Amino acid sequence: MNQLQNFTKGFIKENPILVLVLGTCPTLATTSSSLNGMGMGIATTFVLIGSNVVISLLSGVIPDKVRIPAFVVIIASFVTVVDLLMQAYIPSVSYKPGT
Amino acid sequence: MAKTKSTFKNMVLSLTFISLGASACLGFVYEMTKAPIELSILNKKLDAIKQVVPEFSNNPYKEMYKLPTGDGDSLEIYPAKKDDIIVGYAVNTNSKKGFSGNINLMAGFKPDGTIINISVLAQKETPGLGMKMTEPLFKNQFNDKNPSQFKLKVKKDGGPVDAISAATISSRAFCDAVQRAYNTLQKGGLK
Repeated sequence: MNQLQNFTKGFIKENPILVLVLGTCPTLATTSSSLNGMGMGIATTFVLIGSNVVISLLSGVIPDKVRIPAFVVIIASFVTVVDLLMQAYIPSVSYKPGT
Repeated sequence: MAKTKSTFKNMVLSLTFISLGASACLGFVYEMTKAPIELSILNKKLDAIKQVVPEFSNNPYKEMYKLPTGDGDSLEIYPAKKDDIIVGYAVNTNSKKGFSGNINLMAGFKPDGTIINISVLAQKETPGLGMKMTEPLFKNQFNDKNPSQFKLKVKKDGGPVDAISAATISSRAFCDAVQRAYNTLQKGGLK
């Protein structure tokens, strides 16, 4: 598989929302307009990139048995950071399901 | 770098450091965003006031006063004045009868008690059902109605209010919040 395919397979073939049906609830709830959808997409991208960078830096140091709790803490912090930033600087896009 | 062994000491240490790092990061961002978030909430409220009362020239924020509702709570009243004559009141009202959590509204009244407009500040109703209370189709039916003749009750309870389909509880809570605002204002607010 070449590099390009690695990127393009995310669109449909390995799209978490369409294939794994992950994150369907926030997707359906927030993408009521293209602006909201964009906002969610950018926020998700930021969280995924940020948490993956931090996790891959730390994964050598984290013992295997506490891998999951450590990852949960890191990802949750990223989500909260994004949430706070969005509330502060783009309140019109900030949407919190359940609040 | 060799993989860290899963000994008790290593696990405690690594989790402690990760949590410390995460909390430091969160604390920093929280402090940084505290002021802008407050500002945006303030702006949202001011926008809501502008929507629900006629044009005003004073600063309703500075002249805000609280009135007791009679059940131990109190509501914030923002008087809107144009050239020192009261043109309307914006009432920050709420109801605990929502389907999930509090419903927070900004209701605008004319000095005689007629509803001008209502704006939803915060609600946690079901998306797609109760959340429709923010849409004009539902909330605009209250405009220009005076609660002294217009009973704030949904049709199921014998009133004239068209409830949102499949969200009667949310509609009732909306009416309840408006009713509370009206009652509070009638009791002590109309100066």
